[in-house]
Amino acid sequence: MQTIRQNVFETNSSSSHSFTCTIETEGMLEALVVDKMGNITLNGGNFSKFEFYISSALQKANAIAVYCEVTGNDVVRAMLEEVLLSQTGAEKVVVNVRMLGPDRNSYVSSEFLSYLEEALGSKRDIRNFVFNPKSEISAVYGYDG
Amino acid sequence: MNLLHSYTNGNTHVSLYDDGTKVREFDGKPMPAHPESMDVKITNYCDGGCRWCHEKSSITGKHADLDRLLDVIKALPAGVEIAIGGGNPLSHPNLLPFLRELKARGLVANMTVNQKHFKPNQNMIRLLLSEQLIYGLGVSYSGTKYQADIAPFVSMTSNMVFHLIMGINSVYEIDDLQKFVKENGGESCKVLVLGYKDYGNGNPHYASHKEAIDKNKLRWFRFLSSFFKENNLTLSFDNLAIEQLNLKRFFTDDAWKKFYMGDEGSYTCYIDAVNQKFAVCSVEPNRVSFDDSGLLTFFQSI
Repeated sequence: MQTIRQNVFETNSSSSHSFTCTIETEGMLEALVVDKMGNITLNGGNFSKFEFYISSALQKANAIAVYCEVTGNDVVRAMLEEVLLSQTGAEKVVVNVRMLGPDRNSYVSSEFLSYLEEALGSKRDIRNFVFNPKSEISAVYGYDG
Repeated sequence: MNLLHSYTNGNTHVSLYDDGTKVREFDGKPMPAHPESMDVKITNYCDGGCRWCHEKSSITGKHADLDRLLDVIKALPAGVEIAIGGGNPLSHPNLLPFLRELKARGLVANMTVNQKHFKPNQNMIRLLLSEQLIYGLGVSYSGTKYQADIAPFVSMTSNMVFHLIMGINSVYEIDDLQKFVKENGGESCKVLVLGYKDYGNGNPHYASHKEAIDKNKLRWFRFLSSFFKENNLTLSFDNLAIEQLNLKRFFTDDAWKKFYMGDEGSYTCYIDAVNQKFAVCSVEPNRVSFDDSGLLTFFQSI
């Protein structure tokens, strides 16, 4: 077993430097920063294309928001909100996903919905899916070329 | 980076490098026989007048008996770090012989100096750095007002660490400091984030400024992560900041195991050399007199 303090001497005379990180620190989760109002806003997105790749925390949170809108899954919706609030310190999560009408902003395929369902079993799963940079979705649907 | 010291502590092998990097290697549960680092208060004298000072240091504060302190820490082997603070440690009349003795023993001294004290003590600080009497130089940062006083030192040492206190300093000061270090020829910017200590003068200060302090802490909680992807920035955190920021939320479990250096008292302890007492850390009210215990006995009892 190994533990590492990176790049700093212990200068603090009242308590210890107990954790250090730099841009190169492995295992850092992705950050999602609140807006000036203190909110996280989810505007959905297009998850129905033949090919797409999503990797940012915001894209992944949006994908779950679209999933919740389409499936009406309030359990996952509540878990997503709780995870985002605790992870970011946001005042609230504003969901602005529209699946119908002229100002529609989101699209999703049924294959994508089934894929997501498997990744959303608990708050821990959702946190890992949204914020772990190693959790990404690379999808090719109905494309055989 | 070059190896500065390596030693065995109980079942743990410790390597300390000249940029401050420390690597611990052990099998099973680590069982250190002595502290890896000591937080030491050598004076309670300070004319800084910080209203939130958890040490309650002031211009009537007394200096520690450093000969007694040297005797108390005689069991520590070369490579152990001594984080010296106060009060204003530069005000202690016996500071130089004390640091020279630490160096002779191979102990690695680091010191925190309030930004306000740089200008009146610039020759002394230059001497401490040039003779390698101290390695890490902590700067209690109080904003741009005294920035010019520390500018000459930025290029003198790559081991300057700016101390920012949640609830007092703004999280955006990290941005200011990065620019300041770059403009003054520093290699990289190092910041230590300290949790707000609701202790000593920190307690009444919090009571009378609760709303402002809580808002400031909330901004740290929300916006700190926007600095995680900055190049040439090292962020470090004390245990109180870790708790107040819920820092663990930003890391995988494996990363936490690898980079978390332990709870207070697991590898460190605090000495109030002015009052000749040991404690787990500076905000721990339970203290043990030098007369009632030796250092290693106290550490093993934690």
